[in-house]
Amino acid sequence: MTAQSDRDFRAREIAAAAAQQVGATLDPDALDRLAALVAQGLADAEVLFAVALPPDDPPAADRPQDALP
Amino acid sequence: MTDPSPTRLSLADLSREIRARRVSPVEVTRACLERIERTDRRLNAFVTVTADRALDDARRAEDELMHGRWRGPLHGVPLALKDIFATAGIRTTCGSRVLRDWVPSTDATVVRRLAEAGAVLLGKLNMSEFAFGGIHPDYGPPRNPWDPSRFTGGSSSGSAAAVAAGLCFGSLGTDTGGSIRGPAAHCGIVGLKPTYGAVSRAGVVPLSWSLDHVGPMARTAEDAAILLDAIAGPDPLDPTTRQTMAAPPSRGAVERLDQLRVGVVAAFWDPQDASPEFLNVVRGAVQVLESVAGEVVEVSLPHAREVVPAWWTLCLAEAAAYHRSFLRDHLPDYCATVRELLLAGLAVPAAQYVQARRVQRLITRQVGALFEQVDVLVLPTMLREAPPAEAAAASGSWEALRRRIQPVAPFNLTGMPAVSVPAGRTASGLPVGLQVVGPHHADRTVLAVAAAVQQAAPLPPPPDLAAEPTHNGGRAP
Repeated sequence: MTAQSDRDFRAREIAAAAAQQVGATLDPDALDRLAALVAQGLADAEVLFAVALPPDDPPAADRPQDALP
Repeated sequence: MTDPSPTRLSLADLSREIRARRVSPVEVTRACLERIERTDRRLNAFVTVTADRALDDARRAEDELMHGRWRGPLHGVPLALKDIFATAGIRTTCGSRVLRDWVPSTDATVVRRLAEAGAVLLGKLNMSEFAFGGIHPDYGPPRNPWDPSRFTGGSSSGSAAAVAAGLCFGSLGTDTGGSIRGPAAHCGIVGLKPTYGAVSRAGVVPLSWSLDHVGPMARTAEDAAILLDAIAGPDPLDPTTRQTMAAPPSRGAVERLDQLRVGVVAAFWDPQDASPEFLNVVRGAVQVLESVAGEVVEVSLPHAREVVPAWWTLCLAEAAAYHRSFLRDHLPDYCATVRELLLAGLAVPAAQYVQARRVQRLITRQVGALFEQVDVLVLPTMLREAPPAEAAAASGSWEALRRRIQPVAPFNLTGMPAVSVPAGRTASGLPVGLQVVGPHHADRTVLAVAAAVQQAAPLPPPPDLAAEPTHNGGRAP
């Protein structure tokens, strides 16, 4: 299985599980469209996790102890 | 009552006429209602016209004026609102079948503020379903006053059409990924996405809490500033406004345009998504700025490649969180595009959402650093003209949405003020928008720059559809 077909397969599984969360039964065309959206999300995740974040992230203001009054 | 057709005045000019008692709030409200009656069959901008409420508001405003009370520049001025703002006693549909019969019991904070400022409410305006990707077929697409065969762009579609066509003097929209700026650009008006937190979102149906902004849409930058003054400020009902309590929208205003440093943002979008003619019109507007600004340099937007993935992750996940219970009970009521976007949001992993927030902070810091070199950034608002109205549903496809948000989404992520101002027209006569962006709280500066562009290259009003044969553009249920 190529990386692309593996991602497509995972996207279809994830799409079906997402629809199940709200009790939706999708016809094959709708499931294909949703799977394409999910596959785009998987590709987005790769872009986002490739970003080199600075060592001070999260910044101090985002640490819970610093948010206390 | 010296002007028989006051509907084409700017909001600021109307306000001066009302204060001087040369135009009556009741007369101008009647003129707007008549214009809506004659024109909106072609534009499909309104979901609900509140004629009785408008005339009541106008009579009250007129009575107060006669007794020497003037509330401010919105006193007696007819406005209309995107149908996403809760209005007590008036249905608020969000352009959806899900909320088609929802009648809120209270006003959104901004609606209350406009009423307290003496504004007249003409009605509620058509929009993309839940301010997301598609137009619900129950409502049909609003049409562009410059060419009714064209769409207005979304999601504050009816707002842009109504303001451009002279059906009202201003409107409020919401902007999560360009939904104020895009329709403003396509319809040849001014649309401001203010600094995040400058304007309360209490009582506004959310799309994405991290990205949603409320802002004014008007025919001139001066009009937009008047509306912003009326709605901005802290609100105990919206915690995101508290962080700006000590920072009114005028902070950071540049006093003199000849000292302004302008950064022209180098193209970072997919070249296939941009119309060369559009970019040429924008270049013309930048040349106008070069003639008045102190310095113009080219700058690159940092992390441009990560903007759409971060925006997409945040928007889908947050929208799905809000809509999950609606999806369980009303799944078939959504249009297909919005339904599938929301279902995809249910599939966003938590770690991806958190990473998108971290990238959002990084982008915000690095774009913020650009403002050490320049006072404002300029770039196109949209990259090509609005699609045909019949294709509005297709324009709501998620692929089209991702392409469309490229030049506008960066500033939803960073929360910086961004305004679209008319930059000119294409050969086919359709308006093109220039986007002006400033650092946080420099809302006044971006409006001042927008005003300078408008003054140097004013756009004439669109053709008067009220004088032409009618066409049924689609009706609300």
